[in-house]
Amino acid sequence: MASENILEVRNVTHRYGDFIALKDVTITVPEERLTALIGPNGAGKTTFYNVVSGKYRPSRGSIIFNGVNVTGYSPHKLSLMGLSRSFQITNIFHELTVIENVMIPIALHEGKGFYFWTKYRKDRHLFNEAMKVLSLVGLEDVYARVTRELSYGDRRLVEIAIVLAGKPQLVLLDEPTAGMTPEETEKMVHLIKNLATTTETTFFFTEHDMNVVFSVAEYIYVLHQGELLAQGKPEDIRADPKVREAYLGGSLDT
Amino acid sequence: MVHQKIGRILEYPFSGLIVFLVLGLFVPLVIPTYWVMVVTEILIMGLFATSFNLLFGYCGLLSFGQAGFFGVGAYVTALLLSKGVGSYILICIASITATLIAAYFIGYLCVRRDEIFFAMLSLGFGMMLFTIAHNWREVTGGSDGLPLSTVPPVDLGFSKISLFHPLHGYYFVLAFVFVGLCILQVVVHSHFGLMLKASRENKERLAFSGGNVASVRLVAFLMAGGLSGLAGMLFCIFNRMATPDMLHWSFSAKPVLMTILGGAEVFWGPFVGAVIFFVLEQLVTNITENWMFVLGLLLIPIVLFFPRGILGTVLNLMKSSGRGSHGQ
Repeated sequence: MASENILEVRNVTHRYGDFIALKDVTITVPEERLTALIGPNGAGKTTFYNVVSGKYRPSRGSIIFNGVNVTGYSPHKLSLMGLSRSFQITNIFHELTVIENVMIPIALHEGKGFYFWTKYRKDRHLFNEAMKVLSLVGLEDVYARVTRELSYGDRRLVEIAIVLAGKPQLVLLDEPTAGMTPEETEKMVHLIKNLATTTETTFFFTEHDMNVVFSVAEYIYVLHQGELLAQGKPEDIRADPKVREAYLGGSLDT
Repeated sequence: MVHQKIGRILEYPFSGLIVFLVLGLFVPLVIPTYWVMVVTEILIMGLFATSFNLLFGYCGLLSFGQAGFFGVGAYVTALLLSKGVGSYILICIASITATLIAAYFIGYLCVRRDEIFFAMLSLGFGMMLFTIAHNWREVTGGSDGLPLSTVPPVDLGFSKISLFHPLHGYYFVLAFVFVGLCILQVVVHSHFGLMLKASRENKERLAFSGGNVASVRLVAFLMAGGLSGLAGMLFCIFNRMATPDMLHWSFSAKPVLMTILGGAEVFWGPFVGAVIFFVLEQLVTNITENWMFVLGLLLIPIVLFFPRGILGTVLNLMKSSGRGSHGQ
């Protein structure tokens, strides 16, 4: 059964002990669209991503990815199936070079993770594929550098490159511009928009910066205290009184 | 200039193996017989330490039970030799297979944890293997171990070579150690080797990149275990006995100390550490009985001021001085 929605999250509830982080959340993400998940701090956005990407198994509910019920699948399995994610706090291989960071997911997706006798540094195909991904995010000039030595913004881009390296069908970006300077944020927003139009990857992102959300997203879900508060096109969300109330008025006026 | 050249040669992955082979072939010809015996032990313990470092340096897992696998290899060898098995190929296959089986079950549980928990699990399993060797008297000979009255000659087809001659014993050990080190050297530069480094750097990112962290670690655990078992086999043949001390946790500390001495970040660090450890032991015990005190004196400044170890620090200095002269 072909599914138009790449991701369907059905009635997902997640508890940490007595605390209910997600309550009966149902979200669908259609293919090749830029969808955003927003909500005030503590709304459950990161928990939602952790549940979808396999870090946690939901207490209740199911996750359908590409028509397959993947509830409880491990992160590496989901990654190999084409679901990739970034983290709010930069999550990369700091002591390895930029190109090694990208070679790792590519080699894994090509099934080379257990090649014992072949030198990865002599693998021209792997190198070329990695350089292609680095050129998508504009890091091809620093490919030989150790990632620890890069600027914060560039390290965030390394993570985007890692996330894209396995040619995923769905990418979850958890606050891609967190901690960035205005210039870096602008660069990142431009990059995401560009990637969404030039690749066949679907992007689903969370973001605290409302400027970014309203300029990038085509469809928005709003989480509040673990529950789905609203969903709709950016202009509808901007006008929604419930959403305004949840954010206490302020930041939506931008 | 010279430094730069040396630095470049050092970065070529297989130059280490060539240096090792040349030194290994010719050094015993120019040193006294007693020292040939010392160098034989260095080879065996160097292989043991280098296999330990596949887990420690490349995966970031501190195994404190590596002697358990060393001991399994040694006991299987002693049992087969005492039963009259004369084929070293058969003994080698049997020792490594037995070690791999032990490493599979122990590793399956250990690799699910990191850091101190991994270290304690491996220590616990190592002590269990020690207890088996120590208490299962009917098979293992208890605390006396299994002494061997003789070891059979090596049948090369055209002639039989007695291992009682120190030089013959030495070259026998060298051949196995060289193969073991070649395997490790190839593996650390392979695609799989990259996954090992990735698992050390950031296991969460590895998992979310499509890597099964437990499987990657388990395979490394098996490789390290199997080659430790091979070292144990050689140690048993060399010493003509297997004893429970070979499985004791204090024996597991030896590869740890050697690796810290030489440096965990470089492939040859543990081996250089083994060389320093044994040469120094020989020199110091000539002067004083307090060898462990001197070893402690040496380890403290290394850990405090040169955490890359002796070889790691030297290579680093060569590289940076090479870079410096390049800049001018």
